[in-house]
Amino acid sequence: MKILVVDDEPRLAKSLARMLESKGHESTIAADGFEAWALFESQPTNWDMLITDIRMPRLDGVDLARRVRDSGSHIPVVFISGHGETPDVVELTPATFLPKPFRRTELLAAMQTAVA
Amino acid sequence: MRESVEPELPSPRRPDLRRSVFFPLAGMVILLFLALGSAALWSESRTEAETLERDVDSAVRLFELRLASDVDTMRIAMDPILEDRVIIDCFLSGDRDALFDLLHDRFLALREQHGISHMYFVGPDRVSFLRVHQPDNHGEVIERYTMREAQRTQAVASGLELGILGIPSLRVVSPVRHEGRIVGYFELGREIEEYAVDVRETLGIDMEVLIRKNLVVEDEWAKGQVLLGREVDWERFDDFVTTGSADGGEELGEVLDEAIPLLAQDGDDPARVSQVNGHRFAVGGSPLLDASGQEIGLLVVSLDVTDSVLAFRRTLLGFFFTFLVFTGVMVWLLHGIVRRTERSLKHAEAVEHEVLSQLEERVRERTAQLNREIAERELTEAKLRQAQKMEVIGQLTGGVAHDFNNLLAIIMADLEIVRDWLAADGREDMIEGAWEATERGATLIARLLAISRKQPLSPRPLDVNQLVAELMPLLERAVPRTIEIETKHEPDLWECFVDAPQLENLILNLVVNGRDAMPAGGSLTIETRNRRVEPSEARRWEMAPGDYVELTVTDTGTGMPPEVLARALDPFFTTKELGKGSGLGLAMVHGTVKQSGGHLELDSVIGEGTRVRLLLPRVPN
Repeated sequence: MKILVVDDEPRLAKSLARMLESKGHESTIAADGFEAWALFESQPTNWDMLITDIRMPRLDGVDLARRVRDSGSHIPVVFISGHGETPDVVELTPATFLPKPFRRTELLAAMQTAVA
Repeated sequence: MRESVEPELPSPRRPDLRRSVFFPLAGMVILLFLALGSAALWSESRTEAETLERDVDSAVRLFELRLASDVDTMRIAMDPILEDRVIIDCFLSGDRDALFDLLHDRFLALREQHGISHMYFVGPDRVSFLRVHQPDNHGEVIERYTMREAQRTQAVASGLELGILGIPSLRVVSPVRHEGRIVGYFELGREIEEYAVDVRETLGIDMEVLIRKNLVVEDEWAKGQVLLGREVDWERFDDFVTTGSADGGEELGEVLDEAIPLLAQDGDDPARVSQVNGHRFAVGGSPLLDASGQEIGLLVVSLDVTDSVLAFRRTLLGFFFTFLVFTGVMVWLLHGIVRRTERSLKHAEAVEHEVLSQLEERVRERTAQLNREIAERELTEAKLRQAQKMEVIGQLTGGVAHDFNNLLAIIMADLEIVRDWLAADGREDMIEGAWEATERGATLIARLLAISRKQPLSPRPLDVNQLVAELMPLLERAVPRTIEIETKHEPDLWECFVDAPQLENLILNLVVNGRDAMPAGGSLTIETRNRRVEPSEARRWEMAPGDYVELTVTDTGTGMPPEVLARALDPFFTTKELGKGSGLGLAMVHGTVKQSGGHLELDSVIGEGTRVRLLLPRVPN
């Protein structure tokens, strides 16, 4: 899968990308919501999944996901969160929450859930 | 430092009414009456004295009146004689015997009618011509004052003259006129002893005429007294002799004996009271003046005042009695008043005491209440401070947790890569410690976040199954591999009103407790069920009957003894050692559940495990 990874902590984004690649996925990193949106917009049909942190400056993960949805995309979204909050995102289905830190297996399970 | 207020009340000193009110008042009343009594007494005795004085004066005046009256009488009696030509011619002729014959009958008549005892015809040179009462005695010059005065003034002269016998008599001397010339003098005289009788009969007062001794010759006087048939006692009084003009008898004599000496001393003070024979007498004296104005003796007046004294005494007694009765009544009344006042004072004291003790009681109660309020407030403040601390912690940890989780995520992600690399040689166990440490770190942060999260609930309809499912990763990370987590879900679980973070926190707490109760490992079961609560159960558990979602967390741990079980829900109660548990977990769970309108039940058997059952109200569709 081609996955768009969004997190304002660069080292984490990198480690996450590496994790994904170890399982054969292709990932592109964005440092915040704005950058991610720009990347998405440029190639809306390119992406298979969005994995994004929630708390980010400029454009947070939830708003990013909303924009993606509003654009008509139904790609699954995995929210990764470091602060334990789980905002109501029923309308952003399909979406799952994955609290940090997580094991690779947990990540894969979450991705699976989101796709299903 | 709390201080209890204890009021100190002074005990009032009650004045001794008897001493401070009754005695002074009674004393004043008595004094008042004594004063009044004395005043009345004094007034009475003064009146008494005045009355006596008046009586004495009356007697003396009567005496004088008689004198004056008799003078007039005698003067009138003289006129016919003085105008009788025959008599005058006879007198002028010098024929004594013829004159005697002419006058004798008239003299007798006068003696009969007016008590005249002396009748004189005297020549112009005061040589006595004829004493009608003593015809043989004539020819001497009459030196008497009245005679000389008549000669001097050539008018009628009158007054008392003291006789040789010491007996005074009343004389009236008139010049005899013939053809415009004074040819001689005519005198009439009378005794005055009648006067005393008159006084006695008219006023009831005894009168005695006393003559100064130095004006009387003892022998002559003695002779006179014998003639009158009286006792002769020259030495009876110091300065005076009696004339026996009044016949008061022995009694009067005794009175005089006693009173005269006093009177002699103090001539001005008229009334002296002597005591004789059980009778009291008031004795007064008035100087007796003769025709020339010389004091020749004393008119002594004696009045039997026994009765009036008796009357006075009776009045006194009466007054005293009245006073006694009155004072007695006053004192009795006063006493009654004082007694009543004392009683009402005592009553007031009792009331006051009662009021005071009630006041004290109320003060004590209030103080206790205040102390309680202070304690409560301090507790509330402590809770508030705690909550504020938690808020601060929450805010801190919110930010820290995020960054911390990021770091842990990085570590974990990289560890995955390393593990892959080690797995090739079968050496994954090399990073086992790091692995678990990272997981533990995540749990810690999650717990910290859960504790510090804000309390205001925002319950929303929630599927507990879903919540549990989503929580599973965290829960699994919270327990070591030795503990197995099982879930049993009710397939069509009702939705319930619950604040998601709160419930997650809750379940996490329970899982952590279960983990800590199973150091050697075990199993943790999380069940969900639909449950209807009957009214009887509801009443027992103090909740509303109806539909609930039941969530049960069971462990196979060591369990809790009854005493620990009883206190398990208390805030800050923990059996864990310092640093290993705050003791807030179950308390918060309990609080949360109750807030949501639910119920929490705790069961534990030592050696078997602990079960925590939550009932959360169902959301009606």
